[in-house]
Amino acid sequence: MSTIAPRARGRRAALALVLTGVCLGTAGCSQAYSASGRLAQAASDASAQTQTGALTLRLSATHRLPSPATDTALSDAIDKLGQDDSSLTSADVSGGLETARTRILSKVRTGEDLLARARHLTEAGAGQATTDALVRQLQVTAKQLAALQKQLQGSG
Amino acid sequence: MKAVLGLALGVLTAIGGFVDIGDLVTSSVVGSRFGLTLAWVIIIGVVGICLFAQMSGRVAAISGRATFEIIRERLGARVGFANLVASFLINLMTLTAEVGGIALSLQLATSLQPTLWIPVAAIAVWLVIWRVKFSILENVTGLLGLALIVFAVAVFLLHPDWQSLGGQLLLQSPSQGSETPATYWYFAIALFGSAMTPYEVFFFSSGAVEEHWTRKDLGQSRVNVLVGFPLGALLSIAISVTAAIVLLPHQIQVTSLSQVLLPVAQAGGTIAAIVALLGFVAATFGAALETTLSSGYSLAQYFGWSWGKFRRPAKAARFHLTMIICLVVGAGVLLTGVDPVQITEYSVVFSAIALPLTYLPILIVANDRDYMGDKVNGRVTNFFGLVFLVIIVIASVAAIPLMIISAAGS
Repeated sequence: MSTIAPRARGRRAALALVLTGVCLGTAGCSQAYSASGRLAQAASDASAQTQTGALTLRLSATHRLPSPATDTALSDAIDKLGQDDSSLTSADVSGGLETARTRILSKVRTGEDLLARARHLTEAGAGQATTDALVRQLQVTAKQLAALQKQLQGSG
Repeated sequence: MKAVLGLALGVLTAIGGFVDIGDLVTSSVVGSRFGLTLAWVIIIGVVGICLFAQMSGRVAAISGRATFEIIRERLGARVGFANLVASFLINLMTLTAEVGGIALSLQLATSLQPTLWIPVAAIAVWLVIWRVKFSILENVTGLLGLALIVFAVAVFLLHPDWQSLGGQLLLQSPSQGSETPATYWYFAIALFGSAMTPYEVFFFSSGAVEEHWTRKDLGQSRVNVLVGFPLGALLSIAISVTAAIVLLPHQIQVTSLSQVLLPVAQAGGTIAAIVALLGFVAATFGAALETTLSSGYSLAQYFGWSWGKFRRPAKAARFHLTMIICLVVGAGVLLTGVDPVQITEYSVVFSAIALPLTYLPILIVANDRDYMGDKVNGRVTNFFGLVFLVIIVIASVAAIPLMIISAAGS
């Protein structure tokens, strides 16, 4: 009895060690943890938030979304873009990825500016005629960010 | 006539009370990223929760005692403690997510910052638990939660391509566009965890004792579970479908509660959006009540304290104190600025991890003739119980490696 318990404990500890090793090893190889993976993730998040802004603005301009919900949805999108901006600014990248980072960051900032304008317009109660152009700009920015994400995934 | 009305009320409450912040967020996230390719998980999850909820309801109705009391007595203090720790911590995390969900829903309705709503939500939950009768709090939030039917209506108003949606329902390759198989399976486990959240079973079992169920109530309890829960799960699927129709084509991955609302607004305009908001508040508030009560139930039942809303608070002081402390802790965590949606995402995955510890004891107790007499599980129930136990163990073991590999589904 005195030898079985330590052996079982030892086996369990070894199994836990192997499992941890496999997890960390797989994680290390996973694109989600690589520098290009992180940039692609930021571009994808930013694209989604910019598209959210476009959809929210369109729904607000056609009086389909209550104004507190519009305000919240745009604030959420702006906050999330701000987080992407911060993570991109602090990302430690070099070489070809530095160019990609700069391009994504530029588009993220364009998205932030457009969303701030969207918020201003919805607060002023602007109609569809006024907001249509901004919706298109937001959609174009979102598509550019999605394209940058795909490029990074292709190269990663 | 009274019996029929009681049955209808029970079923409607079960439908309206099925969806919580975990279902709202996870169903929408999954719909926006994978379309309906993960809807099969909701179906498996609801079969599982029906199986174990009716089992724990039967245990309570026959023995007159709640699950935790029997688990400790039948399986001993050590197993009971493991079960308690797992379910209590997951419950506390879910409670935090639900209080955050109330605050986010109220932010959507008022545009006031959620940090202002968090203390209000926590105090409101405590006041309702303190002052309102069990049957009223359960029925009112459940019935108001029916407002989420607006998601099912929205599916039809959006005029989807039914053939394409039907095609997505069939199990497809786990790789969806830029999504990896690891991310697909990570969200499969999250969705499974959100459907089988342990608090639902403990609340159901303790609620049976609160309402003094007996052998005569078994029929109604079975109908509530077997009709109400699957219909409630249809609401979860409807949330996924609306996200798949509106958000997926725009590649909008859901990261906030406000995005969950957008498809309904597109389908039915301002009125539909307001009804959905009412549903959000009712669903999160109802679940916050249930998780708060479940925290009190689990601790009080394990330690043998006096518990229950059918007793005056002074007669169940430690039960009430536990709930107050849990609410303070939950609100305190949220006030640090942590994102309630992220807490929700983690709570459903950790639920999946803890599932074997919470569901295995129920299966053992439901097979014990000392407690159950002739109402022990039949062969069919045991067969499905064991099948689900295998699924639960696989989900539990795979959850953390998948969380690491997929960077928590990012």
